[in-house]
Amino acid sequence: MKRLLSAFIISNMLFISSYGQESYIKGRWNIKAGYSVYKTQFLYSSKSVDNNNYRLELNYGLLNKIETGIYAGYSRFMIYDPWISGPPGSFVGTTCNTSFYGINCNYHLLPHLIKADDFRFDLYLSGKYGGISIKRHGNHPEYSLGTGVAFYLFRHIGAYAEYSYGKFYNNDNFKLRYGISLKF
Amino acid sequence: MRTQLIILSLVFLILAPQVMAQQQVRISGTVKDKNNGEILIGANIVEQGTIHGITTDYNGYFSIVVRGNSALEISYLGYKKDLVGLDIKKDTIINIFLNPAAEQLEEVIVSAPRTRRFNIATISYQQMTQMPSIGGKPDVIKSLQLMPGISNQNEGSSLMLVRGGDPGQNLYLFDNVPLIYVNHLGGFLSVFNPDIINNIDVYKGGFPSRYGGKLSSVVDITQREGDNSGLKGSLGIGITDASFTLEGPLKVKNTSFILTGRKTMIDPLMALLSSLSDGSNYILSYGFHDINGKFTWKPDEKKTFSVNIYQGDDYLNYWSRNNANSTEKYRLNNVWGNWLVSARLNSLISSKLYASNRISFTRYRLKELMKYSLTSSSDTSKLKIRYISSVQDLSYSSDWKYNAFKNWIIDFGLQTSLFKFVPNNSYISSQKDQKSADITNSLETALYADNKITFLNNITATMGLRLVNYIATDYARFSLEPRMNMNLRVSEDHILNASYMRISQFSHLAFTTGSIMNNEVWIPAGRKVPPAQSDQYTLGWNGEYRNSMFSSEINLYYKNMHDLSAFREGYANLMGDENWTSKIESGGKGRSIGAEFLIRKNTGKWTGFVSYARTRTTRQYPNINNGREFLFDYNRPNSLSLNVSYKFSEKLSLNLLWVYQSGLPYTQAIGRYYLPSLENDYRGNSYYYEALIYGDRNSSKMRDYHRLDMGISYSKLTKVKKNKAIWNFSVYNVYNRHNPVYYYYNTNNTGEIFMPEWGGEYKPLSLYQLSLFPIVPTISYKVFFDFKPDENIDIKTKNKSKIPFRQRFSNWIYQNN
Repeated sequence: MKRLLSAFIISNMLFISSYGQESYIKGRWNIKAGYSVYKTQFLYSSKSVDNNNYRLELNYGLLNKIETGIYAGYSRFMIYDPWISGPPGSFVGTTCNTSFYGINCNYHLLPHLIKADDFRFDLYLSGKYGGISIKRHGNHPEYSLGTGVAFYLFRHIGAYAEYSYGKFYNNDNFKLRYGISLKF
Repeated sequence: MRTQLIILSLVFLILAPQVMAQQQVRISGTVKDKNNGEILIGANIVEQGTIHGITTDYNGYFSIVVRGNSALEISYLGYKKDLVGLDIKKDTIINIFLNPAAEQLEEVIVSAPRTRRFNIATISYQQMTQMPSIGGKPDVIKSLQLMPGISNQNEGSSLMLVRGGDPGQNLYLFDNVPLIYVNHLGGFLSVFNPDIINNIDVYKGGFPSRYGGKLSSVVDITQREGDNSGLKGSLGIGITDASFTLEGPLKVKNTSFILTGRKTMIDPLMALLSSLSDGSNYILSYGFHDINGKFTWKPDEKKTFSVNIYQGDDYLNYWSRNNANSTEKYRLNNVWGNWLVSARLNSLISSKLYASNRISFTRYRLKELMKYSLTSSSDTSKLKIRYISSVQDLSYSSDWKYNAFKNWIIDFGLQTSLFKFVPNNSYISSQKDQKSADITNSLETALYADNKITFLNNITATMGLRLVNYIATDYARFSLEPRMNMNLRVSEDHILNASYMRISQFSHLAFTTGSIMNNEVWIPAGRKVPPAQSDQYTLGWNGEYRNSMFSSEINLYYKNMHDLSAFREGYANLMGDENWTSKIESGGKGRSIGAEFLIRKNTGKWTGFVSYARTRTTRQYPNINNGREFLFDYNRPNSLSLNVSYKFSEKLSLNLLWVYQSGLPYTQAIGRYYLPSLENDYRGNSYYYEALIYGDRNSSKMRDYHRLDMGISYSKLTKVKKNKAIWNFSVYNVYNRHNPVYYYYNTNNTGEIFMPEWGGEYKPLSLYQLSLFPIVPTISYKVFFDFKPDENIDIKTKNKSKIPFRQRFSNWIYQNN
C-alpha cells in the first residue's frame, strides 16, 4: 500500500511540474505491442516455467509530458493445479488462460530538454496499476514503477523497452518488456 | 362488365400522368466520376424542388421524366452535389460527371448507395477496408456476413448462408457473369479482390426477374473500369497475401484497363520449414493466387464495350521420400479454382431504351493427383491416381430496359447457359479397363420481364415473370417463376414493402466442411436428383431520420424450399464411385422464418451499425433422421453485429466490431454401450469397444459464439512522391474467446485415437470442442502510386542534396519534413 501511495504522490508531483509547458507528447496517441517473460514456479518443486506474455497498451498524451492509458495482455500460464492429482512425488501443471489489464501513466523526461514538434526518442517514467486474471485461480493485483525508452526509426513506428520494479503475481520484483511502439 | 371496368380504370391510372404531362421531357444517361470516368451506381437524380427522383442502376444508367425548364440535382456520397439546369423541349441523352468531395482523403472508389431498397444488403468500400479482419486485409464476403440475414458457416469462413439457405444457393455475379467457386484457403478468404470492386449488392429476397438459377441470394459485384486519366496503381501486403493493382488509359482513344492480382506469401516458407523440420523427409506447401483484368472501350458517349478475365487457383502440394532400404516416393497435388472470360456491350439506344449484351465462359475444376513409386534393387512399382470434378458454363444474355411511360419501366431479356458437368472423372493406373467420365450436358434458357409501375406518386409495384426451360441429357423441365415487389411510401422518410418470389435451381452443390482441401462437387438436376425450388414472402419497413444521419429497416420473411439435395449420411465425396447418384440424398424440404433489424448511423465522426436477426431454419429428408424434421446444420436463432467507427482525423480512424451468434446445433450422444471384440489383443486378453448411441439429429446446441475485433486505419502521404499510403492494424478476437467450430467425441483432446486392442489404460469417450482462432494481431500496408510526373517533387528531390548534413540530421531526428 505504501508503494502505491508513493507512486501516486510522485505522479502528482510530476503532473504539477509539467503543467503549462509545450511538447510533442500532448495530443499524441501511442500504441505499444510488447513481450515479456513471466516465470511461474510449481509448488513443492524448484522447477519453473517461462511463460510468454503479450501486452497491448494504448496511451494518449493528456498533458505536455504526461500520457495515460490502459493496457491488456495475455498469457497461457503453466501453473500448479491442486485440483489435479499426479503420481506420488510428482507435480502436475496445467495451462491456464491468463489475462492482464490495468491503467498506465507515463511521465516523459525529454520534453524538459527538447522543445520541438516531434522527436525520434522517448524517455519516460512509467507507473502501472492493474490485475491479473487466471482461469480457475482468480484475480490478483499487480503494480509497478519503471523506466522506458523508445526509438522511432520511422515516423510512426519504433521499438521500445521498459524495465519495471513492483509487485507481480509470480513474486518477481523486476520485469523487462520490449516490443513495437506506434505514435500518431 | 365489372372486370372490363377494372381494366379500364387501371389503364387510366397508368396513362393519366402521361397524358397530363405532355410538356414534360425524358432525360436519360449515365452518372460518372469526373476524374477517372468510373460509373457511379446508386447516384440520386432528383428534379429540383420536388421529391420526384431516381437512382442510377448497376450500369450507372438513369432515365427520368421532368419538366423541360426545370433543373436536376445529382448527389452521391463522397462527391460534390451537382445541379444541371434544363431548357429543352424534346427527349435528351446526357452524361453527368461528378467531382469527388475535396476533403475526401480516402480514394473515392465507391460509397454506399443510399437508395431505399429492400431485401438488399450493401456495404461500402470504405466500411469494408476499415473493418478488422484475420488477415489484416479486407474481405468482401466477411464484411457482408455482418448484415442481418447473412451468416457464415464457421468461424473465419467466407462461405455465405443467406436466410437459411445452403452455401451452394448463392449466385455470385462478377460484372454480371456467374462465378462458380468463390473461396480461397478452404473458405477463409473470398476470391473477390477488393481492389477491383466498384459496388456490391446482395439480394436476399424479392429478386428482380433478371436474376435466377440459385435459391437464396444474388451477390451482384460490379467491377471498376480503370482510371482513364493516367497510369496509376497500388501495392499491398498483409499476413496472408501480397497484392497489386495497375490501371490507366491505353493508346487507343477512349480505352482503359485495370489489372489486379493477389498471391500468398506462405507457400515457399511452408516448403522450406517442412523440409528443414527435425527428421523430416517430406515437403508441404499451400498457396493461392488470383488475377483480375478488365479492358473498357467507349467508342462514343452511348456505347461501352468491355472484356473481363479472371483466373484463380488454390493448390496443395506434398512430396515425400523414404530411402531406408528402397526409394519410396509419394507426390500429392491438389488444385481447385475457376477461370472466367467475358465480353459485354452496353448501348444507350435512345432516351427510352437501354441494352446490355454479354457472352461469357466460366470453368471450375477440382483436380487431385497422386503418384507413388517404390524402387528397390530388383523391382520398381508405380501407381498414379487422378481425380477431376468440373463444371463449365457458356452463357449469353441480352438485357433491355425500356422506359415506356413516365411511370412505367419494363426490364426484359433473354439468358441462356450451356453447362457441362463432370462430377466424377477418375483414372487409376493399376486398372486395366479405365472407365470413361460421366458427362452431363444441360441447357438452361430463361425469358424474363419486369414491369415497374408507379401509382399516385407513392406506390410502386414491380410485377415480373421468369420462364425457364431446362434440358439435360435425359431430363427436361419447364419452370414458371412469378415475382412481385410493392413499395408504399407512407411519408417522405418511411417506406413499406411486400414481395414474393418463386425460384428454381438446376444444379446442386454437395460439400463437406472442415478440410482445407476442397470437396465441393456440383451435381446437375436429373431424374434422380430433381431441381430445387423455393417460394419466399417478405414484409419490410425502411425509415430515415435527421436528414438521413440515421436509417433503419426491418424485414420479415418466410421461405419454403423443396427438392433439396445433400450427401447421404456417411458420405463425404463422390471420388471413385461410378454410380455417384447413389451417394446423394434428394427430395429434401427446408423451411426458414426470420426477422431482421438494421440501424445505421451514416454521417458524422461516429458511424456504424447494429444488425440483428432472429431466425429458425429446418430441413427434412426422407432418409435422414428417420424422415423427421430437424434443425438446419447452420441454424443460428440469434445473430447480432455491432460496429462502431470513429474518425479521429482525416488520417486516423478506429473501428470496433462485436459479433454475437447463438451456438450451432449438433447431434449429441444420449448413451453408450460396449461391444465385445471377436479377437483377443496382443496379450491374449479379450477387450471391448465403446460405442455411442446418438439422439435426434442436431438436437443439442454448442456454446454461443462471440468475439470483439479492433482495427486502426492510418492514412499518410509518402515522403518523396507524396503518394497515399494506408496502414491497417487490427486485432481479431481481442478477448481471446475460444469459440467452438465443432464438437467431437474422443478419448482425449489431442486428436490421438485410443484403440482398445493396442492395450493401455481404458479411457472413456468424452465430448470435446475444437476452436480455431485465438487473439490474432495483424498488420497490412498499402501504397498507391501515380506515374504522372509532378514538377514540385522533382525540384524538391533535386534540392535535397544541397541541404547540409547537420541540417539533414536535425530534420531527421526532429522528424521535420
